[in-house]
Amino acid sequence: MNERCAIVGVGQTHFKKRRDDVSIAGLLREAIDRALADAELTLRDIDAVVIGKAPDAFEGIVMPEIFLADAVGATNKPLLRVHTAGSVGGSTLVVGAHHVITGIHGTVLTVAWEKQSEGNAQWGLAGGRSGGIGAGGAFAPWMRAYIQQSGAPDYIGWMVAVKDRRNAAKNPYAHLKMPDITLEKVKESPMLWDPIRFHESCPSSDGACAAIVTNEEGAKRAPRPPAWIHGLSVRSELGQFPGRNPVRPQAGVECAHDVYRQAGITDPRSQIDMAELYVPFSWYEPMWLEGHDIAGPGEGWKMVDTGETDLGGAFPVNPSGGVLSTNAIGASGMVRFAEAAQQVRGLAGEHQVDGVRTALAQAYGGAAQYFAMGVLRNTPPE
Amino acid sequence: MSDQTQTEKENLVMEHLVSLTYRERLTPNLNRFVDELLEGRLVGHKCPSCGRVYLPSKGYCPMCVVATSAEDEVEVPDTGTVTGFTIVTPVAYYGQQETEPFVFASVLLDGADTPLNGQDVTGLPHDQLRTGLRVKAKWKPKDQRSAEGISNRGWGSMGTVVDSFEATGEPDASEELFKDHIF
Repeated sequence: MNERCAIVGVGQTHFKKRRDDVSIAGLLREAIDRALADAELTLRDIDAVVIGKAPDAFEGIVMPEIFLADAVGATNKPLLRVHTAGSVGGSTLVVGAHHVITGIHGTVLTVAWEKQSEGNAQWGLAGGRSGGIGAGGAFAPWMRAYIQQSGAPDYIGWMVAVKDRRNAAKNPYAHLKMPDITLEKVKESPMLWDPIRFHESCPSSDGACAAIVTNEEGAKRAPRPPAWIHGLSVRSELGQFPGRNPVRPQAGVECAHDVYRQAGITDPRSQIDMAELYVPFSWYEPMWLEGHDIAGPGEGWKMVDTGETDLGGAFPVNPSGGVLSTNAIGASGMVRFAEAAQQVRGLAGEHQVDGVRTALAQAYGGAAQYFAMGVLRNTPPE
Repeated sequence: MSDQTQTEKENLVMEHLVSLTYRERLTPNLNRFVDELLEGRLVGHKCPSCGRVYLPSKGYCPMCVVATSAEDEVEVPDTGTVTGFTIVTPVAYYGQQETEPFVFASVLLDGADTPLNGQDVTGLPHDQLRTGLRVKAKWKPKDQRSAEGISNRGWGSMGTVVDSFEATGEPDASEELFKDHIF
């Protein structure tokens, strides 16, 4: 059984360095309440809840979905936890949607979060030991390899950082809003993990994102335009094996090809109107443009250079400001899907791209080894 | 919502620091690697099906999906090539001992098919570090070696046995020789 499926409600918290004003449960409920209000539903209308977050070591609470069950409205309902590192927000939405597409449930609440101020992600990634390098240190050699292979000039990374921070200034939920950022400021910021500078790196945020997925009947009842799901895919590969190309991981290539095929897309660059890609460090924008075959080899950085990925460009990437501006790790993948949904619904506000009919959402995680992708449209699948 | 109407009132915070020291048994394959490492030998497994050499071995070849065992043990030399690197600026998280920028390099040992990640490279300034650089292990004296820092979730740690990989001064290796074994 293949039910049509749509996103009919999305909710994000305001993202900040510290959300001392709410507990973890309160943080999730803030996103959930906004998503329910958007869909004009109550928790009674929800059949099941899927919850996602990155490693438990980030807050030091093991299996937090158990104590959160009541707060997320899962009392006496099926509750499922997803964990696929940084891609988890995307995978969580995919898992929720699969329960609708297969006809198991009619309406599913998906929610993803991180409250990084309650712990230390660098400490968590290092297993509490010295010598930790953070995510930036793990990805930096691959960004160096991309720069070397593609011949991209240094300023491409700075351009992505400037674009995303300026876009974030138009997004009321974004963490870092820097309308006055310049290439000079990015270039002069401290080097963290060569070649990544401070302003080319994501922040640590507290925040949550929720999305309600439902079947065709649910979408018909929705008070606002639904974002129809035309393709969903997850793929993974080992983090290390001989012959692995972490600059263009095969799992990412196959995940992209799978969603394009499902959505009938043969030329992503012309048939997709905008994309929300998981770009925690500036160089990942051109790397994913190439890694998902939106641009040819060595062409991704040229899309950045010519302004094609700007808010007013031919292929806008991360009009929300992206992960570079807001990174509550577990939530970040779902924010990509939520922002893509708002774009096809025409509800993105000040960072709305004109005339979006088809949007791409992507999240990645681990050693660039887990991928979750989706294609959303403003019209239902045929 | 609530974050928009935050009051001036300070939240009450109770500091409660907890420390937990624990010991962990290394997997049999890693244990065997460490036993040899402490003696100054680098031992991995050669896949009986494809011939690729894994070091340290996890007891299987992920390409052929076949188990490897002690019968597949091979020793490789302590010389190799830098295949990837970054310079990390420490952020001073709790427990981090590094205070100055440090090298995080992948070193492909001659005869191995997977690199050792997270290695220090010495003998040249940071700004001259490059892929293709030829290096040799700098061993600690036997009585100062220990397995401390090696973990089942390790990132290529050589414990306190190998201090760093030092530039040998040989001509750089051609990328053709290591391009399929960078990561």
